[in-house]
Amino acid sequence: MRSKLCVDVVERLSERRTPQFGQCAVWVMLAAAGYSLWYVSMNYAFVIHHGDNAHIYNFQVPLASPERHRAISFISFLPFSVLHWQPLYWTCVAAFYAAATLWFFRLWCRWTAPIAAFLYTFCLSLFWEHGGAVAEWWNPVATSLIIMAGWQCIYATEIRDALRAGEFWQRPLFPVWVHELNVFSLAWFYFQTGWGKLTTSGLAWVDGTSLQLHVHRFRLDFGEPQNFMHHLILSHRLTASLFSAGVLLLECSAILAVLPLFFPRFRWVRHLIGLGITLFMLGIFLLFGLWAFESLFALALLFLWPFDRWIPRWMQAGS
Amino acid sequence: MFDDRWLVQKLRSGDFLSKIERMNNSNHTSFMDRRRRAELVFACTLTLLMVTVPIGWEKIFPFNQPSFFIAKVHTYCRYKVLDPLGKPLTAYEFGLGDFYWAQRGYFTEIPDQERGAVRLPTTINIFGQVQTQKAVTQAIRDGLERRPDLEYVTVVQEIKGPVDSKSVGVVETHEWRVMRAPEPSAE
Repeated sequence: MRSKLCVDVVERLSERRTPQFGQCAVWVMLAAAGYSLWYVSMNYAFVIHHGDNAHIYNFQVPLASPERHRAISFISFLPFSVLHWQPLYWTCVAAFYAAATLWFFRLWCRWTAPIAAFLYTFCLSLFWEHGGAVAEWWNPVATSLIIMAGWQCIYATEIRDALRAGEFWQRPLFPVWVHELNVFSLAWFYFQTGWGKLTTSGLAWVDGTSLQLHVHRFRLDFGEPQNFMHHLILSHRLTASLFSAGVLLLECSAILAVLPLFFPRFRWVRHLIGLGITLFMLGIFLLFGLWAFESLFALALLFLWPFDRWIPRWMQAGS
Repeated sequence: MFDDRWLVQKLRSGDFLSKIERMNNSNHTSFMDRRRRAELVFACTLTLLMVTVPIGWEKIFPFNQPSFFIAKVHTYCRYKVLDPLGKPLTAYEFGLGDFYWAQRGYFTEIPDQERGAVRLPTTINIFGQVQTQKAVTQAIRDGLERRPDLEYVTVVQEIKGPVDSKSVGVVETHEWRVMRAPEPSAE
């Protein structure tokens, strides 16, 4: 039975579909990456001045010492003078937008796709190399961009032939493993956040006080306006506790989003987790503001809701 | 004269055609195998990186382990530092900066609180802890050594936490005037 399961999984992963969903996913991800890089670049321009400042995301703080503290990306081995050379950053940002634009229009995908994915990761790494912290919510965007670039690079010949023949939307060019790998990337990301809470704090994390103090710290202390969610959380510890418990349960069970790969009849589990994550992210927007979480939100919607079925249907109905 | 009957015969024979087909098929098959191998290597490598890097190295973008808001906290402190005229000064100058996002999950027990690429000013203000008057005074005095223009500063410590069974807020407030440390005597 185990070998039959493995064979079924391999067959499912090897299956190919028409590229409506895949191509729409590429467009959405390029928009998400472009937006997040623009957001990061605004912070880069604002807080980095003459190399004597660092940032914690978008807060400027003075450097205590120019020496490297720890490796935080695959380019940490480069010398400090290179990592902090501002023209390098801006050149790579411009090159990313150029490559992403060409990829968007499906031009020379064999090269523009991996170049754009590499440059996005490189630019964000350069940004974090200036920082005293790393905000992890763009990790799935970078990973998904790499996955989609891999698809378009490996299938570049077929994609080019299909475009030349005018049959791009009709040919089976989108392998299922690309979709499943993106789902795994998101599920693993959310699972790690939940698992980190459990292993660091245990079930005491859900007592409600932690959430209340986080909200108090990041909204009230900054003098930000409050909405009904802030009042709800800050005035009722039981409500805060219930929200915390719900978030912990959702994050720890997010890994089950890969279950449909093994047992297709459990597709509803993936979509239920997608619904939960959507509500969770809407709660974050209401409580903590946007902080450019939109990119992660777009990815979660795209891969955890049944858009892989809806988009081909809509495009077929429209044509 | 060149006799092409032999060539036509050969072309029409099954052997010749099947040989061409076999050659085409093997090219096609090897292309498919190469592509299949490329897909397998790519997907497996990426999956391996996504799983092993956060476990082994924790902080290598874009595979770093997410660690925001993972700590349970029941209190934290907020500081205001004022010069002798009452003008606010920056808390991080005096070792009281609240770089909470630079503290790994705001977890109080990890000694190496900095999780980014560069070293930030030292701070005793750990999210989840209440600093004693002695610790705050020492931090302020260390800061005053770097500010010879200031004779003393006033520091206001607000301790935030549960005020009752339902809500959180300011639990206690302390205000201290911290003078510059006396010069050691010549003897």
